[in-house]
Amino acid sequence: MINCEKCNTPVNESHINSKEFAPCDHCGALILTEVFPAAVRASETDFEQENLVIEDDAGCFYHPTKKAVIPCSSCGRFLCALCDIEMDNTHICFSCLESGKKKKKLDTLETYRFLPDSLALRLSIFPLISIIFTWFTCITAPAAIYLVIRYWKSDSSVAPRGKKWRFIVAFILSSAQIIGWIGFLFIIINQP
Amino acid sequence: MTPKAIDYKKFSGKKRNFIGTDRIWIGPDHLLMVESTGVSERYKRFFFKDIQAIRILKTKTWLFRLIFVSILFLLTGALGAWAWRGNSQEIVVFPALICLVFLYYLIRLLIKGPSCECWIYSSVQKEKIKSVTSVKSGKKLLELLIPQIEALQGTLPAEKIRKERVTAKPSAILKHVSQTPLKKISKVWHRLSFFLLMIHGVFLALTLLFHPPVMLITIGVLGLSVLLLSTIAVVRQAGSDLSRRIKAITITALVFLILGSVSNYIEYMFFYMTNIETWAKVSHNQWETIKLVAEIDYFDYPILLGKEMFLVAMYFCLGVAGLLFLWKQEK
Repeated sequence: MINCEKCNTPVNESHINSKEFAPCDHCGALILTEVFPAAVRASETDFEQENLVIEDDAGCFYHPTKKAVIPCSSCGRFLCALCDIEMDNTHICFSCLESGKKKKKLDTLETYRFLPDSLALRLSIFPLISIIFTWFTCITAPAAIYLVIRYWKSDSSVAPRGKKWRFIVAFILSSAQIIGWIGFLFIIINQP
Repeated sequence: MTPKAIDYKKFSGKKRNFIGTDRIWIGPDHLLMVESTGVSERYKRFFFKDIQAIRILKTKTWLFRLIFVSILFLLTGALGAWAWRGNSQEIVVFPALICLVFLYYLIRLLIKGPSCECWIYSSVQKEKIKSVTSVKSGKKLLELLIPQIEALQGTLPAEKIRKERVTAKPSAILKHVSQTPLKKISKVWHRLSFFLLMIHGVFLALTLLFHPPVMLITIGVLGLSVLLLSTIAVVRQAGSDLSRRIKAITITALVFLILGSVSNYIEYMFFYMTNIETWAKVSHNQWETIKLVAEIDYFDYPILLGKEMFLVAMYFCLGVAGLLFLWKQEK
């Protein structure tokens, strides 16, 4: 049963898929509810498990007594309906899923990414604009340049981002800071 | 398997949190939710074929923000107008600037429109789409998603809704209220801190007109007490059943108290540096230093006067708002 988000009483069925905000019968909270067929779809786990009838039938690699229905598109192993994982319009086995996740070949499984370009940009900008931490630019500027060089070719975000402009800006700013430090040290050393 | 670039379309609007932003992208067959910390990102995907329901709940946040910002706008505008009429044109600068900031927020709120929460249901999760905070953007998201979901799932006829008694899971795994039980805390600390904050604002306003040393000591003690009480309140409210508004006001009050203390310290350094001979002589004697501070007339320093008036307004408004929301929650 779909319940109100505020008072947890069941939503009036006439308010479902009405395309407009409707008040909850109990608390009056205005809620717009859109429900899709997946909510009433029969459980997809109730698929038929066919046992091998004829010895010549191909069996699942992981369940030899089960009939194979499809080969894995990555490793070619035969899979039964239970082992088949449908993803990105392909069918793979769970071993290939695990290895794809570890080797980061499956974008749709990635849940975390480190953004070296954002870090490099922040390291090059924040110490500069905060007066207290300006002196730390002697550390952050080289660190930013290291990040630019080390991670230049690596992927940034899964979502589309501007190509490399953060790296470029970080490199320019950090280089200017390093040049500034060199000039400062030069003046100090050459002071009479 | 070689990775292939997925064609994502950005959905307008993002929610800024303390360290990063939350945003959503619409892919060819799924919705991508991105939670960014600035230097890293976490992703959650909702495949269209698995989405069971999307719900938008209208909230009153927008209304309360509108009222709060309007009051502050009118207050700072009145302060600026009073200063202008009082032939103290230099004082006008500070409240005028603050007034413009509040005007900007007011216009932004009016354009954004009523606020909402948007929830997405699948068979194993119920997730809040944090970047959708206004009814306008919620409806726009539905307009974009519904055709794509219906292309994969089809439509749900009304007879089936009645017949099947639609269930949007998870009901067995998650509850519709917060998953972790919230602890009940005594509201005494919050009540006391908001009340003293209000009193602190009133005393600060009085100090602008009458500032004998005793008054300054009282203000100092009051300020420290409010700071301590607010800190205790902020610590205690974590994971509690207090409403988000009260928690937000408590944190805001603490931030302004800290800013006020820092600004007082900067003021003290300013007066010390500009009258170093006089102040250095008495710096070892706290009472003499307080007497020197008591001699300062804020009306001779328009910017400092503007800052004090702003703090008075913030302390008073935050104290009153906090007490009102506490009373409303108890009701």
